[in-house]
Amino acid sequence: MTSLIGYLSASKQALKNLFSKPVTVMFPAEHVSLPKGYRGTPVLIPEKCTLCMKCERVCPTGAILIEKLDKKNGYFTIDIGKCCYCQECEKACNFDAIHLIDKWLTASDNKEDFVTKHFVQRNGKKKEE
Amino acid sequence: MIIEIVKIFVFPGIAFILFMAFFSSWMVRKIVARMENRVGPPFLQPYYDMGKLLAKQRVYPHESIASIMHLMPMIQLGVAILIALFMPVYSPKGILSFDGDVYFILFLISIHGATAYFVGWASRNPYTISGAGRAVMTEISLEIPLAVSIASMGIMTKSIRISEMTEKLGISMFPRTETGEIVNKLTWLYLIPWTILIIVAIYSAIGALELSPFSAPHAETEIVHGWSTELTGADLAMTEMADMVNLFNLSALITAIFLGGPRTGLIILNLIEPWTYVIGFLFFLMKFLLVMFILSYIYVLSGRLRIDQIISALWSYFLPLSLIGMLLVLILETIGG
Amino acid sequence: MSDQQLLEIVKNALIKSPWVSHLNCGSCNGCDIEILAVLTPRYDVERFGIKLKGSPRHADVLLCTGSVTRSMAPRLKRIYNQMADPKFVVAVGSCATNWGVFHNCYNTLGGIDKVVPVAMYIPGCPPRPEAIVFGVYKLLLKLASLDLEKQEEKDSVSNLTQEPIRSEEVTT
Repeated sequence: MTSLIGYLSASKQALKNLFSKPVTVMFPAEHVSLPKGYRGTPVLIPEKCTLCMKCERVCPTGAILIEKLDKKNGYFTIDIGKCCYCQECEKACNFDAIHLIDKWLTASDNKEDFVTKHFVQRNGKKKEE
Repeated sequence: MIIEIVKIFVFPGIAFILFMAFFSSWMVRKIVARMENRVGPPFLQPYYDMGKLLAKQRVYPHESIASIMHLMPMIQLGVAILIALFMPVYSPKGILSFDGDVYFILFLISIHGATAYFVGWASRNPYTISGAGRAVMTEISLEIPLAVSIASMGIMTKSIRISEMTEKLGISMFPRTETGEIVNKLTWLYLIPWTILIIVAIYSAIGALELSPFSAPHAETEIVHGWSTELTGADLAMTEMADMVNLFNLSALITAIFLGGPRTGLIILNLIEPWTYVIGFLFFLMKFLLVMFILSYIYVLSGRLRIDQIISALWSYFLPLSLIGMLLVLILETIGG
Repeated sequence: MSDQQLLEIVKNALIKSPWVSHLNCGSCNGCDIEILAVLTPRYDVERFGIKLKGSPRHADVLLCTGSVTRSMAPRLKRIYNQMADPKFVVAVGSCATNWGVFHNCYNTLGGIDKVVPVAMYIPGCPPRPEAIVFGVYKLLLKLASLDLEKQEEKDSVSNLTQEPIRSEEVTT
């Protein structure tokens, strides 16, 4: 008997759906609004970076790689193919140099597209602040 | 001669049948999608699916019997189209029609289950074999309620020929004098067995089409894809197309036997020759869409039953229900006739 | 009708109805749940003709999640071999793309492309449902721009004219 009542309420819902507008988001044409504080692709601001290696140390997946050329210059590489979007690097950075922005449509057929390499030159002024 | 050829190959023959099959497949998917509050596939979706599948590579597994796996889907499609040729579309008479064709159609429907068993057995895979066993069990269980309900309608209309059953349905349920008054006082009582029998027939049709709640022979992801797991490319396209044509067949069969097919029913229209066919075709379409809607409505609302639940439901609920319907028809015939 | 026109029609049909099959190669189930979210009414993918199929034999696209564990690698290879041409593999999630959180784990191989050729990578941990839809959509766009004559890769539409094959037993 309970199943019959369930059947009737389900049929009521089905008929209601039949004559109402679908809830589907027509994806490539329109987007879903992202929640506040969404963790998307990590992006570096090279001017603020001081090559302190803190983010590389906290990164759990090895997505951040810093190659120092000398004391002031170096290459900063982020591989979003490895990244797990945990925001540890943003929390660890003392200079607000790395941010997780709301960019998430990153699919590609080439793994090279996921790697971004920045040349970073350490600014003396920033270090003092 | 030319008219006969056009009838067989164009309308209401093979081209029309395939169009209606693709249309009804799209219709079911669209209604299900809308009831689930989604948008659903575009109109040409079945054509794209079939075009893709026909062009794909065919793979036959190690130690499988390739000839059976290749032949059986073709037999399924051929049989499905053969059934469709019996269906009355614009006039009460289909392209093929002879005495006792209802039982010939039931025999052809059961061939679908047998071919499914052969495909599953030839694939040499535990999933296909268990799916094939389920397909045969479902087929055997639904055959008898379907046969009994169709036989009861045959008793009501005193015929076992689809064209006569279609034609006499209105007369036997609502007999009239020449002035148009309904004669028999028992006439409205016929609606009770009619309702029981059409419910049994619709559920049996769902079982024959392997839709929910009787979708255990396919059982996606439980036994991978049932008996058709190992089919690829053109073979899969043939089974899918046979399923689509069967969707048309069973809806049209229920329309013809229980709803009077292309007959206008209680509405009496005095029309000249070609216009009766046009109006008949429109009435057929309306009734056909109603049956399709009920099929997809049951399909979307029910979950999948286990195979033992299917067997017990069909043998212990639907078979007695169909027998009760038959008994009521017999009683009414004895009292009224 | 020439062969070229026929291939063009087949290619259009393939783009309009990609059937997907789903395989978990040692994922944490996060990506699998997002793949299921793609099939819900909110991101309804049936409007692209995408259909989830249980059997890899019926599928054109294999959605793989997880960095491949050592015991799953031969199975992944086997399931890939069971699929009928033309076939495409999509790696969903950072683990499937480039090791992700299983970074330097001794029991994982580190990515689907270590075992089978991958047509599209979708990074994310897990990727949003839109990102997965976008990945499959981008794969279809890539297919649409394929030149059938010049394409000589293994994963191509030009294999369509191939004779039916009898798959051999895969030794692991």
